[in-house]
Amino acid sequence: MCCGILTPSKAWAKKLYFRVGPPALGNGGPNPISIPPTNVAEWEVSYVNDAHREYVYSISPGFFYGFLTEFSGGLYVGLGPGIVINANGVGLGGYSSVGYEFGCGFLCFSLEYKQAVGIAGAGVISPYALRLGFGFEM
Amino acid sequence: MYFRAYFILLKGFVAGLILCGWQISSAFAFDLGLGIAAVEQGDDSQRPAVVINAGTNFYAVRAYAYGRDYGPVSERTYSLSLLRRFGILASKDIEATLGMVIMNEQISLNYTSDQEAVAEAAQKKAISSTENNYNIGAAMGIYYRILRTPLDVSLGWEAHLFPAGVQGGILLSTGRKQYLSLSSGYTW
Repeated sequence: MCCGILTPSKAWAKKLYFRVGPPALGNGGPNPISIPPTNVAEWEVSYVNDAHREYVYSISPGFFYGFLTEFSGGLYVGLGPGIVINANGVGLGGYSSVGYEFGCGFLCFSLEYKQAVGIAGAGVISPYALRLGFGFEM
Repeated sequence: MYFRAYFILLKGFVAGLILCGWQISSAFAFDLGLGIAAVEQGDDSQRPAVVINAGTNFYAVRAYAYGRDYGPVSERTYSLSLLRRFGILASKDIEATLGMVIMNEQISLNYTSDQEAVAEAAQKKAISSTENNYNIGAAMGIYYRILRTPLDVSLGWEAHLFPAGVQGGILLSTGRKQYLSLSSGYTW
């Protein structure tokens, strides 16, 4: 059932995002974010092109190529395949994300929940992260 | 213990496969389903759960239940998520949901009279009790419909995210339950 009155947003520009937040690595849950956020495992860089394609680079949940659906009001959902990484292994899988973009001016702030599922040597791995950051148009 | 749980889940899934109903309205759609899920709680291990879902064009309700017994201890987790549905990726078969979830983690001590007698003989106490722990969090999910016939079958990937303590909102630390589900039902 495809449904909803949320209107997908067609206008989009190339954007580069930097986000920070503690990942859950499969060993009990995320620790609080480091202050200042100098732990590389908490960083994520993502690039979104004007075709709504996202390239994600992070130590965990991993590296992904995704398809974004943005809605009017700043809400967006992402989905795509990639390489999933956590404390229990590395494997092929996919990610999904939901985020909210707000306060857009020179920068746009972004709060995003991203999760991944993959198959590693130890079995199914499922890292995730809640991250806060900013993006700017390129 | 696990064989009994899997048998109950299998009966529930078969019951979902033979659900039937009546036509309400051609403009208004209503779906009802039942299925099984694998729950992950932060340690990459999967536990079996049962899921019941109901929904209209724009909203859905999903309930999950799972647990285990070991000795006199029973653990049960019940969650109810209230969700807004919307299509993504210009596909009729893929949808996303966003909403809230209410969860109860229940722990029960159930001593038999024999166990109470053994404890009393050792000058200890064995008191049966039940503890309920409630939590409210955010829910999001991705669903893919793999069969679109009078009988619907869909795969689901849903997460329930809870703040970890009072400082969770500031320090971004969370607890999560992930459900990978397979459910079947009927759409009117």
